[in-house]
Amino acid sequence: MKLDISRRGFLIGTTAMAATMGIAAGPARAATGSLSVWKFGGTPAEVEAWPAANERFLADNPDVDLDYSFFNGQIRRQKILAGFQTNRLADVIIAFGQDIPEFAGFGLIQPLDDIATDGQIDDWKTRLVPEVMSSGMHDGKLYGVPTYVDMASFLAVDMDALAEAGYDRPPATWSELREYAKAMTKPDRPGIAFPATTAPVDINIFEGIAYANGGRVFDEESGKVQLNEAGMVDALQLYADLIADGSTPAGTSMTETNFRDTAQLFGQGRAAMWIGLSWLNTPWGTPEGFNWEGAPFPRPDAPSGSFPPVAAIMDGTAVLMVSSRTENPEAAMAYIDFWTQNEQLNTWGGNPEIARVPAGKDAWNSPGLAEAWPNWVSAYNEGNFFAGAEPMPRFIGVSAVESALATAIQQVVLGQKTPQEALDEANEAAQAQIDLLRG
Amino acid sequence: MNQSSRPFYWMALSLIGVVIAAYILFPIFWLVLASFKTTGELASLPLTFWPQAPTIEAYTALFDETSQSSQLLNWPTLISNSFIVAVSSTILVVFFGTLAGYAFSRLHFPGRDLILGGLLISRMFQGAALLLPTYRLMNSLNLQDSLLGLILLYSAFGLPFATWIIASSLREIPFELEESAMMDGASRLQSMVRIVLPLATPALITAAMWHFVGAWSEFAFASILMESSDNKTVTIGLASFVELFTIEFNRVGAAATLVAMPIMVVFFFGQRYFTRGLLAGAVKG
Amino acid sequence: MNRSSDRWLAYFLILPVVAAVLAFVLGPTWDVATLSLTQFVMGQERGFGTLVNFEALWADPVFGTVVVNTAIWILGGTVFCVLTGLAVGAYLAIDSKVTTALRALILLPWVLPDVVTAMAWKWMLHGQVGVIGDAFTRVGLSDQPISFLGDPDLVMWMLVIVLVWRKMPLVALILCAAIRSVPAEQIEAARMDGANAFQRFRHVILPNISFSLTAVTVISMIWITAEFTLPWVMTGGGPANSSQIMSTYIYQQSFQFFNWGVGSAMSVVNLVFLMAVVGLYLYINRRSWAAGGSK
Repeated sequence: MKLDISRRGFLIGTTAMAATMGIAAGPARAATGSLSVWKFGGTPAEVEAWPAANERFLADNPDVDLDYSFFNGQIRRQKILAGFQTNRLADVIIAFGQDIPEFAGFGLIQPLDDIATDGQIDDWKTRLVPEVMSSGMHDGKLYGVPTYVDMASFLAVDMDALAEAGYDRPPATWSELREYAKAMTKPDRPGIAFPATTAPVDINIFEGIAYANGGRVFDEESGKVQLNEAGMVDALQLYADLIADGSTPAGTSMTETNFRDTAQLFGQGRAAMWIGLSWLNTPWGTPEGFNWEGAPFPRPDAPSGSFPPVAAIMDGTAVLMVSSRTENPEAAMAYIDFWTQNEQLNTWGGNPEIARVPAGKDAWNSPGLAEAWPNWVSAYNEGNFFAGAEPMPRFIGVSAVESALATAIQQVVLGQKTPQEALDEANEAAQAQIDLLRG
Repeated sequence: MNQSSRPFYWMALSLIGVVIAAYILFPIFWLVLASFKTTGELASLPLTFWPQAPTIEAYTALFDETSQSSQLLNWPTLISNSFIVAVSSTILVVFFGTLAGYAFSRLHFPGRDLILGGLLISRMFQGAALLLPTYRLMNSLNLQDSLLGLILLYSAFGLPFATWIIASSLREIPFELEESAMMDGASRLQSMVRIVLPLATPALITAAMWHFVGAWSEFAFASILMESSDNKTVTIGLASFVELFTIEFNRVGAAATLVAMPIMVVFFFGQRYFTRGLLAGAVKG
Repeated sequence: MNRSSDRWLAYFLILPVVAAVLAFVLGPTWDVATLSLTQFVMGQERGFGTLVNFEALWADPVFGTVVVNTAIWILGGTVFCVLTGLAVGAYLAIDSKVTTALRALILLPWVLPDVVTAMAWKWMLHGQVGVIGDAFTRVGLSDQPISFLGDPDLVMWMLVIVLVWRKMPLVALILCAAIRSVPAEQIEAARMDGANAFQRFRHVILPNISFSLTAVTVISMIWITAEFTLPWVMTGGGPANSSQIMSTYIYQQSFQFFNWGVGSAMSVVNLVFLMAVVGLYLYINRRSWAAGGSK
C-alpha cells in the first residue's frame, strides 16, 4: 500500500482511460426524453470522472436530454428537501446510503423494484458485490444502487515511525494501540491524531470504532437511542485514554481539525498515525518517499457492547436513487442500469485518488486496485473483505442522533465531561429529537 | 482635525496606521499571495510567506476548458451571470429607490416615518430562517433557477436601505431650489429630474455601489435557488472550493481576486461619491 | 400645491418598494410564523395551532447556550464594531497622507464575499496549518499552536473578531465622515478654552455625531443579525455547540434534522427579541433621532 503518486499524473491517466473505453456494449433499449440528475460532493478525482461517464451515457442514449447538476456536498439535504417540497426534484438523485430511510419515509424516493423491468435487478446482482448492493436496501426493497462504499474505521500508520519505535506490524488491539501511540509520540509529533469536528465523516469514523465494540447509536425495534450504552461509552473512553496518555495533539486542535486536515498532518509527518475511513490518505496523495500503510482499526480487547461487534461499517456516498415523482422512470432506470455496467463501476480502475471501495465484482480484478490496496484484494478474494460489515447507521432522525453524538465526542475530547456524562446527555437530547420527529 | 508637525506625533500616527492596515489588509494579502503558490507549497511545512516558485497556474486552471470541472464551474459564465444580476438589480433599486426616497423626503403623508422605519427593519428578516419559505415562494412564482428571480429578490432585499440613503440625502437639498423652479412653471417631475437629481448624485452612486456589492457577494439564497450550471453565480463557484474533501487555497485566492476585481474597479471610480453619500445618509439622517 | 394630491403621489411613488418588501420579505416571514405554530416534521404537516414547537425549544438544553452565544454575537459584535469603528474613524479623520491612503484601502474587507472571508480566516486561524498561530509560535508568544476555533472559550470571540474585520471598515468610514463634518470653529473654540484632545472629543465631537452613532449602531445590529454565512462556514456551531447561534441552529434544525416547526419557532423568538432590542435602543436614543431627523 505504498503510494508515490502525483495528482496530475493520475488525472491524465483517468481521462485517457475514459477515452479509450469509449462506447462499450450498447444498451438493451435506448431511453428518450429529458432526465435530470443531481450529484452532491465527492473526492476531487471522482467529481472529474463523473461528467466523463455522462458523456458515455449520452453516446449510448443519444435521445436522452441529460441535465446533470453538481452541487457542493454540504447543501445536499437542504437542496433535496427544498426540491421535494416544491415538486422540483431531479429524476435521479445521487445521495448517501444513510439518507435512504429518511428519504423513503418522506416518500421522496421510490423502490426500484417497482419500476424495474423483469429480471433487471437480477441482472444487476450479477455484476454488483452482494454486500454492497444490500446496503441500498431498506424495508426489504431496493431503494438505491451504490457505485462504491466507504468503510470505517481504518488506521494509517507511518511505517518509519513504527519501526523507529521498535514495532514490525501495526497495532491489532485497543491496548496495543495505546501502547504503540505512546511509544511513537515525540515532543513535536504526536503518536496518533483523530478528527473530531462535526463533519459527518468524523462522526462515522468514531461509529466504526464503537460498532466494532458492540455499540449502536439506535435500536430500531424499540425506537430507543443507545448512545450511553457500554459499547459506545467504552469506545469514547478509548479517545479519552489516548488523549490522557499524551499521545495526541491537544483536544482543542482535534475539534477544529477534520479528516482532510488530519490527513494533511499525517502526510506532513506531524502525526505518526491517524484514524480515518477506508480511503485514508489516498484522495490527496502523499509526499514522494513517504512510507505509510493502511490497516484495519485495532479490535477491542473484549467487546463490551450488547450488540454483535461488527468487522466494519460501510456506506456509499454516491448511491443512485429515483425520485418518487419522476415523469421519466424509463430514462432514470436506463441511467442507473448504465451505472451498473462494469465499465462504469470500474471507471477509476483502482485509481487510488478515487479512493473508494469498489461496488462492482469485476472492479476487484483491476490491476490498479491490486497495486493500490493489495491487502483488500487478497481479503476480497478469500471472501473476507465484506464479512461482518454492516451498513452505517440509517434510520429516521439519524442526523439528529449523530449531531448529538458529535457534541458528546467534542465534549470528551475537550475534557469538559467524562464519556458517560457526555453520552448520557447526548442520549437524552437525541431521544427528544427522535420523539419529536417520529411524533 | 489636527496639524501638528512634531516627529513624535507623526511617528505615532504612522504606527497606528500600520497596525490598522495590517489587521485590515493582511488576510487579503495572504489570499493573494496564496493564489501564486503551488498546491504542493501550500501543503508543505514550514509555512512560506512569499511564493517560492510564483506561478499563475491557479488562474489559468480556472479558465481551463479541457478540465472536466470547468464544465461544472464555468467561470466566464459565473462572472457574467453575477454581473447581469448585480447590474440589473442595481438599476431597479436605484430607480425605485429614488422615487420612494423622493416621496419620503419631500412629501407629507400619513405613516411616513413608520413606513420608512418598517422598511429599514425588514432587513433583519433575511437570515437563514427565510431560506425555505423564499424557495417556496420563488417556486410558486416559477422564478426558481432563473436570473430574473434572483434580480427581483435582491432588489427587494436592497430597496429599503437604498431608499433610506437617498431619502436622507434628498432631505439635505434645500426645498427652495425646487420651489423656485416650480414657480417658474416646471412640473414636479421636471423639477425633480432637473434640480434635485443632479444634486443627489452622490447619494444615488452610494446606493448603487452599496447594492452592487451586496448583490455581487450574496451566497445563501443564490445557492439554493440556482440549479443549472448556466445560472450559477460567482459566490456559488467560490463556495464549491470548500468541498469537504479538498480545499485548494491557491484556487480560492485566484478566484477571489478575480471576483473582487470588478468591485474594486467600481470603487476606484466611485470612492469620493461613496463617502459623501454615506455622509449625507448616516450623518444627517 | 395640493396636499391631497401630494399624498396620492407619495403612495404611488413608494408603492413599488413597499410591494417588493411585502412580497419577498414579509410574505416568507409570515410563512415562517405560521410554520412555527404547525407541527411540521418529516415533510408532513401534523396540525396547525399548536405550541409544541415552542415547548420543544424550551426543553432543549442547547437552546440556553444558543441564546447566550447569540447575545455575544449580536450585542458583542455591535459594540465592538461601533467602538473600533469610532476609534478608527477618529483616526482616519486626521489629515495626513497615511490616513488618506488608508481611507481608500479600508473598504477592501467589505468587497470580499462572505464565503471567501470565512474560508480565509478559518484557514489562517487553524492551529496546525494557520499562519496566525504559526506567527505566534515563531515570535515566541506561545510555545504551542493555539487552536483559535477549536477552543470553546475562544471560538465565539474569534467569530466576533472576524465579524468586526468585515463590518468595522464601513462603520469607521461613516463615522470618519461624520467627524470631519463637525464645524471646525466649535473644535477651535474648545481648544481656546483649554480643552485637551480627549475633552474635545468627548464634549464637542461626540454630541455632534450622536445621530450618526445611533444610525450606525442600529444598522450594524441589523447586518449582524442577518449574517449567516460567516459563522456557518467558519465553525458550523462547533466545537460542542460553543459557537452555536440562532442562525446556525435554525439552519441545523430545518435542514439537517428536517424539523421545520422548531426551526421556525426559533426564527420567531429571534425576531421578537431583535425587534425588542432595536426598539429599546431607538427609544433610549430618541433625542438624537429627533434632533437629526427633524430637518
